[in-house]
Amino acid sequence: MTTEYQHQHLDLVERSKAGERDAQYALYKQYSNGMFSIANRMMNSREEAEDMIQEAFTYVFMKLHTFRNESSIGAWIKRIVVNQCINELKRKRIALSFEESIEKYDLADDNETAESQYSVENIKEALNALPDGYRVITSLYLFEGYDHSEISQILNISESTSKSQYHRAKKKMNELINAQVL
Amino acid sequence: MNEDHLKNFIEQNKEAFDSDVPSEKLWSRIENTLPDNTQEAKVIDISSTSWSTYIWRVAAALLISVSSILVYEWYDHEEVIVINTNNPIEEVNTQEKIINPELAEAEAYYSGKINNQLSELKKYTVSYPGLEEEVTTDLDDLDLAFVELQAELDNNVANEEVIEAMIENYQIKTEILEDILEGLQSTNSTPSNDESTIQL
Repeated sequence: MTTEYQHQHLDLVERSKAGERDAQYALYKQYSNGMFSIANRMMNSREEAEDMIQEAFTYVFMKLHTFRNESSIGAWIKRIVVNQCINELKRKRIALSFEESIEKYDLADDNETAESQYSVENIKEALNALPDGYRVITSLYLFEGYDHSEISQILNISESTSKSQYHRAKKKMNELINAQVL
Repeated sequence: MNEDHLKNFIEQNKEAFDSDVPSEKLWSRIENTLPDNTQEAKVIDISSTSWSTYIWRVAAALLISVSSILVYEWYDHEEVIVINTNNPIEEVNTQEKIINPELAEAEAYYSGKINNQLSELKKYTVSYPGLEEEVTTDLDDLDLAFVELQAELDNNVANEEVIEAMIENYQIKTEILEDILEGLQSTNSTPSNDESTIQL
């Protein structure tokens, strides 16, 4: 990230704080695709993802005066989007409670797929085929850069649950992708 | 250690995964929920968390416009104007019954202070054409916010956030007036009237 780029961003943030609509729009445009992609993965529905983005950005602009440049504005917005999605999933009582006592996962049995077998499309499809709880953990771990410790805090589950659920989800995704490829 | 091919692939192709495009209409849906930043704005998001932002924005806008006028006038002519001292907050006070003791106390204190400041400001009504309009328009915005807060309070008397926002509204108002007065005192040598009558 160049200094000039950072300055432009700070300027956008400051002007958005002051309520300048064109700056708010520019900030939205800068992040809307990325944030919408996150919400789309977590909610597995374009319509719900748009609702989440609407609420998240409304919150962003309302609370922007509390943003102190301690993190990047992108990371700050992302956290709001992720929280918004998780709250909605919880509100809908989607099974985000994970059983601790799932079968021990044996990494040796991992039917790891060669990287060449993957494509953007088949990964998206496989992710969307996962049950909600698995999909949320997997999205956070694979796409949003959270580690299992952070995921355990966000979802209020144990770290080992996050790990084992991810491994099961990955196994399932690989199965689905291998089945498609073969 | 086991290499995570799936994670590697995603990290290397992150941009392709993050390129979903939301509907064009999404921005206008967001925009509709934001407080309007134009002067004509009379529709304000009613959720109490947005009040503070809104009020501060009005305050910021007022300070900027007033200081630009002061700077402009510093280099320019002197002319007599009259500041409109109708205080809409007084009207609000007499119309509404005050139940919360904390708020009642704040109201008694601040409305007295604001009245003093406004009459003080009136003594400086020389030299600053345009100031009157700016001050009254922007204080009107604060008053509008106040009236809507009052309406919210009527629905829910014990709402701490609303009461806090109302007191903050008063505080901002006196701070604005104080800043304006300070600006006037430092840019303008003396008010046109007898200084012994000044009370702050």
